[in-house]
Amino acid sequence: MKKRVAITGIGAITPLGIGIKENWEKIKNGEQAISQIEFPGGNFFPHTFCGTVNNFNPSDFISERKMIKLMNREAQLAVSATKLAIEDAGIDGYYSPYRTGLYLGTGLTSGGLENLIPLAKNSIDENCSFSYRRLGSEALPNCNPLISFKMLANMPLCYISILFKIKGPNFVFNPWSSKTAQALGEGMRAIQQGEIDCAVVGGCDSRNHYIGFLTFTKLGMLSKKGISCPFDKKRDGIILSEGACVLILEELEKAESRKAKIYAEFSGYATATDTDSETLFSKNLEVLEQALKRAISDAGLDADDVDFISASANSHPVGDFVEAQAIEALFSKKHPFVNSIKGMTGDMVAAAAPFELAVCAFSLKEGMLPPQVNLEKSDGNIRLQFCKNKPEKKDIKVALSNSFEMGNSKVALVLRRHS
Amino acid sequence: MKRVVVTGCGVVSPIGSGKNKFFNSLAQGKSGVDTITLFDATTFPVRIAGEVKDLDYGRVLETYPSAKSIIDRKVFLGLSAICEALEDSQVGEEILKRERVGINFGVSLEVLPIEEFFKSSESLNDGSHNIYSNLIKNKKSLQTPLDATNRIVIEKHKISGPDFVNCSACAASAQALGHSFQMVKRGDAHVFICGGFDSMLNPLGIGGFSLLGALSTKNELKGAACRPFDAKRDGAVLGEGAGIVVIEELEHALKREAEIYCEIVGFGSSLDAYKPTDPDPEGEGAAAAISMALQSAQLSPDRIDYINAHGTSTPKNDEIETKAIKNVFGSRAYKIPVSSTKSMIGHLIAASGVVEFISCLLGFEKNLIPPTINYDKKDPYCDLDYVPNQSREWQGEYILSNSFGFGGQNACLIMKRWSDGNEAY
Repeated sequence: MKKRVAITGIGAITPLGIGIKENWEKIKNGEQAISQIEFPGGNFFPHTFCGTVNNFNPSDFISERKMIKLMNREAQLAVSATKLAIEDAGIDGYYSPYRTGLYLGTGLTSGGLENLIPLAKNSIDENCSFSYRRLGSEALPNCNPLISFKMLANMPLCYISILFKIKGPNFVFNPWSSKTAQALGEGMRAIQQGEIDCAVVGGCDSRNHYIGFLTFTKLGMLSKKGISCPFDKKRDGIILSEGACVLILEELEKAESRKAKIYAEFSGYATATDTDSETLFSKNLEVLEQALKRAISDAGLDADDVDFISASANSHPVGDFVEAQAIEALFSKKHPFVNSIKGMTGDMVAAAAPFELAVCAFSLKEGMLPPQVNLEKSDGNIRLQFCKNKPEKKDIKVALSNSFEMGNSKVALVLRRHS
Repeated sequence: MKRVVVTGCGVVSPIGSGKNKFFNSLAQGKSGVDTITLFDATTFPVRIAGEVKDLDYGRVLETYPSAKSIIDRKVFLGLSAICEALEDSQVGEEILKRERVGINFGVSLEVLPIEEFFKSSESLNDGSHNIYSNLIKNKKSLQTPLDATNRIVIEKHKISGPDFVNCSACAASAQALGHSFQMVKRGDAHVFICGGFDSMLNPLGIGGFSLLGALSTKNELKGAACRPFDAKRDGAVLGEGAGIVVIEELEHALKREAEIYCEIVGFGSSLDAYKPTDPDPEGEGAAAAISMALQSAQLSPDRIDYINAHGTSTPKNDEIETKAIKNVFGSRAYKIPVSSTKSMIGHLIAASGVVEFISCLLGFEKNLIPPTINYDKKDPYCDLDYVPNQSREWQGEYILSNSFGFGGQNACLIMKRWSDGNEAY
């Protein structure tokens, strides 16, 4: 018999704000958190619009100063979001460390070029060319010996385990939003199977630097106009963003018996694979449909039960359109409300999936649809029932969260209102 | 719950690629560690590693032409092992295309090829400005996202089952295997192609690890530098390589009359939650992962007949691992042979778990367990039977394979000898 799973804590640090309450207030106000920033080499890109977490001070959350220094920004964000989530759920010390799992998605953690430039400068020989011998004799001895800690993709998970004494089953997935969505799903499964009682799940990412912009420019994914407007006619690519979001999952009965606040029940998960690898965005609506159908049936529901869809649409010309088609095809009878929060936050990549799931959970708990921003005129071929441009009270019972935007994995997650 | 068996394997290693060459070298106690040739490491504190010498780029590109534009070496190591594993399992293109086949690969980090990055800037002395503009102008993408291999394999074989990229450092491929095992067990897929690949044998990899003080600097010892459990050990030696196994639901394997190497019966995954820089000195997390694996296999500790250790050759790891084994197995710990194949191939980081797993399943086939080579002087804190220097004839039934990762991620797998009588169970 499968156990049921509840979401009982949310920790969110995004360009919209710190903590889920501040995030939800900003969402209700339809605020956008995209701004132009400065970083070395930024002048070589058409623009540097992105979503940035402001007023974030890791020492507000982490007392171990030495450890803060070891961490890259992604890890600092992830650890801080975990602290918020654990406080929100009130589970500190409640479950056995070995019965608590940890499932995280991380992005590109090789960090900024800034880490490497001093190394490179010290590796230049008298002929002004790069020399391995100079790298070994001059650059390495002058390098921060702990540089590797900032580069390993599993370190955010390790810091979380250390600071919050989590010792159970664990995975780190990489590098896109859909991969983080799998981490959320696998944490849910582990509780369903009775392997663990509680799971800390989430993702973190920060690409607001030269390497981040370079990667996405070469992938041809970035917006040239510098605007994140999912489903809108003028969309032309994604806006990078950063953040971390961590959720606490518990076995529902155990959460109820400790009288926990329950945001929603997490009841469905499916991961489908697009065999077409030529581009990173979705092209095949059959694969998306498959993910949606399987997630809904995994939750024991029908397509007609779905009231609200948090789309993964990230303002990509093709990706948004194909997702809209898949939604339209599957929900032909009843039209759920559709929203993409990326109009406000930009694309937090590996941190997007948990934040979008958190928004679904909050919407269900509050009985309120988040507004859709930056959607002035939708593509003529897109016929969906979008959320209005202001929040709206609605009796929603089932929400679907999509993570389709990059890579082969197409993941859908289903939440139910808890009553 | 379904039963899960291994029906194919492929391995690329510093002591030879292909399962036969690999196992023959293990049986003979050969070391694959030598002076680094992949780049000029003469001025580096660490100048030795286990390099793969027989990587067949041509064969990889013939099967996977889309790998052509990739510069990350580990992708080629991985694809080479994938070719072999798929052929070995004889699973066939039809099954890959039509059935629920998953893939799950462990990798470590996105390599920034520092030399390529900075070669692309003609004059580096006038500051970083040139670096920035030249990198944008450079058409070639120098970075390889960690899911690149998955994408190539999915596209080629039209694999539509679950697809995972596990980034759990030194435990990555063991985690990928264990996770795939769980998914087949609960019926989420019929077949999984899983394992891992890695190469840290680049200036940043070797440089970064040596800065951490984790590597042996006894460069002059070459093949004798990596000496797990020996009193004179002074650090790990990096290696590179890949291991891929095809695992399958038992009924599915029997129906297609596949050859079965062994059954996977247990998996345990835990965290040290101790310090970012050090493993828990009491080995509590490691012992917990072993216990969880035994529990998931529903086995009592006295059933384990051989332990393939993580055995990195760092002073701390080997002592702690010994402690953890004693904590779980009590006095029986002294009767179980424990060996570290890292003594021969070095530490393959993300690929280490699966390559060691493959050495175990070949051990079942050949009735032989590989030795810990370079074992010379007994350490009072490491006092188990480490199968010193000579491989040993062995006919046991259960093997435990340990992987304890940097940062405190632990993963343990238990496998069972396959014989035709096992079907009844």
